[in-house]
Parts: sequence; C-alpha cells; structure tokens
Amino acid sequence: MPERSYLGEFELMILLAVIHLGEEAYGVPISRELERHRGRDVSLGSVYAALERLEAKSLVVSTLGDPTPERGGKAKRYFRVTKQGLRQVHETRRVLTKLWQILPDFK
Amino acid sequence: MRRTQPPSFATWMLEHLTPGERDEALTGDLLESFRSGRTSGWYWRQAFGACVAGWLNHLRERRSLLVFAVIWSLLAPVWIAVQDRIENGSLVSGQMWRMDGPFSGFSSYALWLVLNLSFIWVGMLLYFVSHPNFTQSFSKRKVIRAFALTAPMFLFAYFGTFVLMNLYFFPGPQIDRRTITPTGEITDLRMWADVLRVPYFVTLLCSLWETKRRSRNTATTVADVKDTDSAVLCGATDLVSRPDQWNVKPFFGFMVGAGLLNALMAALLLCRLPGAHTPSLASLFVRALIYLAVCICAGLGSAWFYWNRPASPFRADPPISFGIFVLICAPAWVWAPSAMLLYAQKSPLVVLVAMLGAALLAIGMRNTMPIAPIPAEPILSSRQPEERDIFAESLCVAPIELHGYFVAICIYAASYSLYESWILTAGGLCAVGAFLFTWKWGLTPSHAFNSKRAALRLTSVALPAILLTVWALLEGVSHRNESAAMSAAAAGGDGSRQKPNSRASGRAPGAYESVILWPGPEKTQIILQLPQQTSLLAPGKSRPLIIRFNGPYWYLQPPDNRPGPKAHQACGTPLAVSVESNSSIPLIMEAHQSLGRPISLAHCREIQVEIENRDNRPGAISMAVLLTDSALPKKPTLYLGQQPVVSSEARRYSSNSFSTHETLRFSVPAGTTIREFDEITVMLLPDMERSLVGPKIAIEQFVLLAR
Repeated sequence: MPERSYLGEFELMILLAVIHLGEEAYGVPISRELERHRGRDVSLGSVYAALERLEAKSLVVSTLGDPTPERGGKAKRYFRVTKQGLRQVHETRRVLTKLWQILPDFK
Repeated sequence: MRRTQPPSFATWMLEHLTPGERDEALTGDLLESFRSGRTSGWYWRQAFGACVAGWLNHLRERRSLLVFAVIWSLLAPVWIAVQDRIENGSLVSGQMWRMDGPFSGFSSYALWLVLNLSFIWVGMLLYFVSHPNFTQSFSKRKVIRAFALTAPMFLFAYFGTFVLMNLYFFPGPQIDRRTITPTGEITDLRMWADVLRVPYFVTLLCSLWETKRRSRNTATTVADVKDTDSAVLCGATDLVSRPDQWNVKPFFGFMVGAGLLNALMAALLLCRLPGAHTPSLASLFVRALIYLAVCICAGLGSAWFYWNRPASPFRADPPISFGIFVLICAPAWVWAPSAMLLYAQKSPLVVLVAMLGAALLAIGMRNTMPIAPIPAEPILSSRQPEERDIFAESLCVAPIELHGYFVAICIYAASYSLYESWILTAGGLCAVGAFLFTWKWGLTPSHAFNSKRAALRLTSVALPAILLTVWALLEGVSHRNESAAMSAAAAGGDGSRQKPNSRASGRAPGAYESVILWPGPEKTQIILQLPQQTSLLAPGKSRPLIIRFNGPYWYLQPPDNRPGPKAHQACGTPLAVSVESNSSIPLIMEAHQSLGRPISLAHCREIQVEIENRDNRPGAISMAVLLTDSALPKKPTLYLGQQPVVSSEARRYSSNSFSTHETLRFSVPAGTTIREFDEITVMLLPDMERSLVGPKIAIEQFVLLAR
C-alpha cells in the first residue's frame, strides 16, 4: 500500500516547529512551541506519534542525546528535518498559498 | 510543597503500556516538563494520551493487516466445511492420513492441525505477495518466524475460544451444515459463525503483527551525529537500512512449485471420467487432449501471475525467457491428468507417473537454468581429502551427501506408504526422490537448451502423456462399470457379502462406510412379483394394492447417495438395531422397495406408508417418499413431498411408549414427469439434534390407492 505523501495539519505544524527550533528540537520544546502558537495544551504522545510518522516518511531524522539527571537519566531525542522534509514543507506552502490566493476576499 | 517525583503508576503505564519499543525520550520529556512546574493531573493526562496515541499509531501502521485478517477469517467457516469433508475422506482419501492402533488419535489431531494451518498459511502467503514490494517490506527472518508461530498461536487461540465459548454457551452450535451453501457460510454473521472465525483471526493477527519491517529509522546517538551529519538535509533515504535481498534461485523454485501445484489442482478438480458407460476412443482422446490443455493453462497461468508480480525479480531482468520457462515446466504438467485419474482408481501407477514427471522437470531445469549451478560429480577423488593420522594409516573421510540420504529416506517412506496403500503420499515422496536424484546425478547435457529443442521435448513428452491419460480414462470407466455391476448384484441379493475390513477402509474397527440392513432373516431381496396391473390398479378398480415392505434399509452419510461397494450388510430390523454415526456428519436412513414390475402413475392416486415407530429419543422426524422409474436411462425420480412422523413430535413423544403404528399419506400428482415407477424410496429425516443416530422406525407396508 503506498504511503500517503501529503502532510497533515498537525504534521506540518510539527515540521515547522522542528525547522524553527533547529538544533534544539526535541519533545519538550516542540510541544511548547506548538502550545505557544496554538494556544492550547498539546499531548506529547501525539507529538511523538506524528514525529514517528514523519520519520517513517523520511522527512525528519532523530538522534539520541546524552542522558541527563534532571530527566531521570533519560536521553533526549533530537529531531532534524531532512532535505526531503524541507522540500515537502515548501511544496505544501506553495499549494496552500495558491489555494488562498484563488479565494475571494471575505471578512 | 510540590512533588518532585511524578505519579509512579503513570510512569509505569508509560513504560509498559505503550506499544513497540519503549521510548525513554518521551518519559524523559514528561519528567522534564513535570519538574519544570507541571501538575500531577497534567502528567496523568499526558501518560494516558501517550498510550492512546501510541496504540493508534501502531494500529494505523497495520491497518492493511487488520483488514486482511478480517477478510480472510470471514472465509474460515467455508474452510471448516471443506475440512470436514477432507477429514472424513470424501475429498481426499482418508486412508493416507489415518493410522490404526494407538496412533489413530494422534493422526486425527495432526490432520486437523495441518488442515487448519494450511488455511492460515495460504492466507499469510497471500498477504505477503499482495504487497507491491514484499521482499523489501518484510524481513526474511520475521516471515519465517511468523510461519513457525502459527501452530502454537492457533492451538492457543482455538482452545481458548473453545473453552470460553463452552463455559458461557454450552452445549455449542446447532448448525445444519447440509443446508448451508458456501456463500451462506461466508455471509453467516451469527455469533457461532463469528466464534469459528476468532482463532483464525487471532492467529493471523498475532503471527503477522511483527513481520513488517520497521520503517522508522533507529535513532542514532550524538556520537554518531558527527558522521551522519551530512546525511541530514541531504537525503535521509541513505539512513534507511537496506533490505536483505531474497535469493533468485528460491524464487525460481517457488514459481516452478506454484505452476506444478496449480496444474495438479486443476487436474484434481476438473479431470473426471466420462458419463457414458461405453465411451468411444475418439471421445476419450479428445477428453485427454482437453485435460492436458487445461493443466498446461493452469500451470502457465499461475507461473505467469508470479512472474509478472511487481515484486518478482524476473519481471525486469529474467534469467530465462518466460516461454522457455513454460516449455521446461510443461513436460511435468502434462502428467497431472493421468496421475489424478489413476489416483482416483487407487492405482499404484501414480507413483511411476509422478516419478516420470518429476524427473523430466529436473532434467529441464538442470539443462536450461543458468542460475542453477551444475552440481559437481560426487566422486571421492574430486574432493580434497581430509587426512587424519590414526594409528599408522591416514584415513580419507567420505564426503557427506545429504541428497543421497534424502533420496533414500524418500524411497523408504514411499515404500511404506505403498504398503499402507497411501498412494498419493507415495507418489509425492517418489516424485521428490526422483527430482533430487535427477537434479544431482543426472547426465550433463551435451547441447544447450533453446526454445526449439524445448518445444520438441514437450511434444515428445505430451504424446505418451495423452496416451496414458486415454488409458487411465478407459481403466476408470471399466473400474466404474465393474463397481456399478457389483452394487447391482448386491442390491439384487446375490449373496455376496462384505465383511467389515476396518484396515482396508481406513475406519476404526467396528465402523463401516455405510450399512445395508435387510429386514428378513434371509439376506436376500425378494422381488415382488406383482400381478398384472390391469387387475389391480386398473381404472375402475377401487381395491388398494398392498405391498409388504421387504427391501433394504440404507444408512449412509452425505455426500454419498448410495452405499459404497464396501458397505456392511446385515440382517435385522431398525426397531432392534442401533446404527450411529461415529463422526459429526449426520446419518441418512433410507428404505428401498423394488416392485419388480412398473406401475402406471396414471392409475395411482395415493400412497400410504404404514410404519412402526419404536424410537424413544427426543426430536422430530420427517418422512419423504420418492418414486423411481429405473427402466429409464437416468432413472428419473418423482418426489412426493415430506410428511412429519406425528408419533415423533414433541407433544406425542413419550419415552415410556413402547411401539406406535402410524400411517402417512402421500398423494400422487396427476401430471408428472414420469409415467410409471418400479421403486419406492422412503427417506427418514430426523432433526439435527438427533441426526447422528438412525431412527428406530420400520416400514411395514405400502398401500397404493387406485385413482
């Protein structure tokens, strides 16, 4: 069964957050970034589920950091966007912009 | 004062109730957020959310598997119906599976398990090949593990379901399988039908759950990042682990096997003896040609399907052309019709035919396949001897020839199978042995195979195959005519008796494939010599014709419609004997009265059947009457309808009653398909709950009323 090639709304938000955070993109900052812009609580579980889907599509890759005591000895998992991911974001933006442009002005 | 540790049970949930590999990063993130000022309630919500999201993601990745498992398990009731037939020896000879003595129970369970697993394995194969790139989507190790896991998983799921259902819904299903069609089996969504599907669904799901290659890249450590940094943002596909490539040779073997299996299945299902008792040689020749063509088409279709699958390595870069492949395999396919026809007659010649086909296949593959290496000659001197100093001499260690051992095992097992009359098993084993022998030690070809030579070879093989098929058809017709004559002789009461031979019939001692019960003390049928019908049922005569019943009672099981040549014959009355089914298949009881002289239906208004009912088991019984004109070629039958035996109904039934006499009336329609009849058949049809025991009802006499 072919994998879905377009991005969902939540997936797009996460990809943008990962790009914005750059080297510091791991679960907590990503969810905070989303909470800040969306204005509501975000489940870390759904963030990780979406990130796994993105990783399955090779749009992001992850690396494990060193374990730290403040995290109970658990390592951080850093995410970075791939070239393919970046291309996908640009493509989605292009399509969305076009769709917005053809809409008549409404208030 | 704030807590520094999150709720421990929520953490335990995160660590143990999330599917797949435990993700410590998520736990660490939650802990970090909690320590930065989040509440316990938030932590609980996040833990629940992580579990739910994890499971949803997990199921979403396997949605195709879920859909497939549901669809395939929907077919399970149909397979169970087929399995009943196979287990009871009507589709495949029961002889080859059954063992006598202490192993009889084991063989039954083994057969049951193998049949069930076959259904699941076929489903799994379909699931794998239905993926466009199944060699890359699934890892070989996990596929093998999945197949191995099915047996324990099925046993666990089956017995679990069985125990649970019997605990809550005892005494189990009351399904009349005789009335259910294959489509009805699939569309039956009642609870019991669904319960039958549960073990298959669970087994498929559990076995295939972990087969899919994880698409997520394993997270690398920070130390590795330096090395892989360039990979990020410049093509993450490089990080995807490369799948282990499946070997081309096994795929070739798989396709050869698939083609052969399909040809054999086509032969088993389609090759039938002609209906005529004395068919002409020309018609048999044409029939043989058609059978060969059908088998070749079946093998070709199957091979073409796999050859052109998107996942097939031969699609883009075939080692040989498809035409050559077909020409190699067809010399084996052409023997399938004769093998199956001979097998139907239980002829040991099947073994020779199977060996011949297998050897021809091996020669063709050996001569043509560039991917198949020509095996080295097993000469001791050609191998590097391994020398060991023992005493004063150095010994040369003989090379281990596994093929030789395997061929020897095949020969021994085939000999035993032949001794036990397991013809099909013997044929299969000999075919494997012959294939291996020819493959390993066959002569090296002097010329390379090309399509012209292969076509010539096929033609030279097809001719004897056609002749053998014609001969098998002739033998089959002769065998059938002989059996029919024997049955007729038995029905005519010529005194030939069959003693129960449980070993030959493959049944348990004391069990028979069918029973013929003669009512009188003499085991001979008395043909009633009727007076001239002008004097009895002639127009204007009101006196009824009374015929005392003196025919046989037949006890048989579907799909048989008459006792076989090995039916047990005994003398007695159904009131005194007890005939029971030793399987879950219902028993059919019929009473047959031959009249000796035909009676015109135009003169008969009604037939009354007088019976004596001594049955004291609960459950209603119905009676159906059929009239047959045996003088006509196809023995047409007139069905007079079905009447309930009132004395067996619940309101009349009493276990204390000793014997009840009853008369059932069947009116004869005026305009019928037949003009006269010379046989009366009475069928006793009990309810499902009591269908495993023959009713204790005896036919006393028939009263024929003039019109």
